[in-house]
Amino acid sequence: MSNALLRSLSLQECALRLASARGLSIQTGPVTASVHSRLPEVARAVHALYAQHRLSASDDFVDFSVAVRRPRGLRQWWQPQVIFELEGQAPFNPLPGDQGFPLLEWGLNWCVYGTCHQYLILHAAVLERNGRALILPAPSGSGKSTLCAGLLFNGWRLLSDELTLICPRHGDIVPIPRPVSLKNESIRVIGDLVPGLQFGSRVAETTKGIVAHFAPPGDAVERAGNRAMPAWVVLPKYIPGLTATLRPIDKAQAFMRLVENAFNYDVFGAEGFQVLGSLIDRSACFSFEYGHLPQAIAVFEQLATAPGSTSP
Amino acid sequence: MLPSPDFPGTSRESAEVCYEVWPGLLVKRWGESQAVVFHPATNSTHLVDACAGSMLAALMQAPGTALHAIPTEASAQQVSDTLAALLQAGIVRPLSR
Repeated sequence: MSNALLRSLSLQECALRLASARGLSIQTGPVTASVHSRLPEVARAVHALYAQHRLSASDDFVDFSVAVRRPRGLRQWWQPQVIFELEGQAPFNPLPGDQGFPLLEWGLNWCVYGTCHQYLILHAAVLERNGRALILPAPSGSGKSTLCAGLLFNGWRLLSDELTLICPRHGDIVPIPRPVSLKNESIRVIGDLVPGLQFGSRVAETTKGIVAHFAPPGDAVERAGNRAMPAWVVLPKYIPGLTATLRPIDKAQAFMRLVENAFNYDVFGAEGFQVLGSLIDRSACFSFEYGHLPQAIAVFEQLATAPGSTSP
Repeated sequence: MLPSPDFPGTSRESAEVCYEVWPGLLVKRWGESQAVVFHPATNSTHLVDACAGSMLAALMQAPGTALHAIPTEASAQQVSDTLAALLQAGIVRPLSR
C-alpha cells in the first residue's frame, strides 16, 4: 500500500484503517502523520479531504501519531466531546463532539509548529507562481484564508493556507498542502467564487465560529516536493467595501511582522534573524487592504505578471 | 563602565565618550530607513529608527567612534534620545578604555 493515494481506499477501508492499531499514515508535504480515530465523521472528512494525499507504508517512519476520540466516561454519550491526543497525551481541553475533524486539523498544525524546528515556521498562507512564493502573514480574522482560497483557484499553487515552512539552509519554502480551512462568511464567498466546490461538514460554534474545509487541489498535493523561493511578502487586511489597495511598505517593518507571526523564531536565535533577513532581501513587501475578492485576485494577477516577476 | 546618571547628554564630555555595539549584535538595514537589530545576549529583535540605524552602521564599521563623530543628519536632541534608547536596550555600550 506504500505511496498509494488515500482515494484508492473506500470510505469503509479508510474508516477501518483509522480505527486500527497502526492508524492511517498520511504524507503531508515533509511530514507523515499516523491518524487514529473511530469517529465516523472524522473518517468521512479524512476520506474526502485527504483523498489526493499519499499513504505511507505501515513500517515507514511517522513524525506524529495522533488520535481524535471520545473521552472516557460519561462524555462519550452525554453531551459528547472529542479530545486530541499526540502520542497518547491530550494537550488540549475537550471540544464539543461534532468538532472532531477541525480538532484534528488544529492539532496537526500544533504538532508541526511545535516540533518541526528544522524549519522556521510562520503563521502565514503561502502560494506559488512561476517558482516564486507569495507569503501572506496575518493573524486570524484578517482575510488571509479567504484571499489564499481565492488565489489558489486563479493560477496560484497552494503551498499552505496556514503554515509557511522556511528551510533555514536554502531559504526556500517547503510546501505542506492540507485541507483549506474557511470560517463564517468566507465559506459563502468562496462557494460563490467556485460553484460546485465540495466542502466538508460545516461545524458551528467552534471558537472561530462556523468552520468548513475543502480539499487542496490535486496538483498542489502532487507537487508538494517542489519548493519555491520567496518573492513577495504581503500583509493582507479585509475591510468590507474597500477598494483593493496594494502599498509598498518598509522592509524593516515587514521583517518585524514576520517575527510577530513566527511560531519558532526564538528557537533559531541569530540564525532566525539571518534567515528572515535574507527572505526580506529577496522579497517585495506590501500591505494589502481589500473588500472584494475578485478585485483582490486581479491585483495579484498584475503582481505576478508584472515585468521581472516571471522567473525565480 | 556604566553611563553617568545624567547620561546621555549633548555636552562636550558625553559627546566624546566612545561607544561600541554589543559583541555579536546583528543589524539589518534596507536603504536609509528603519533597521532591525538582533541582540544575542537576550535573543531579542528590535525595530529601530533611521537615526539609530545610521548610528549602529557607523559603530559597527568603526567600533570606538565618539558620539560627535557619528555621521547623522539628525538633530542633537534626536541623537541623544536615540542613544539613550540604544543604551537602555543594551544594544550600544560605552567603550571601556
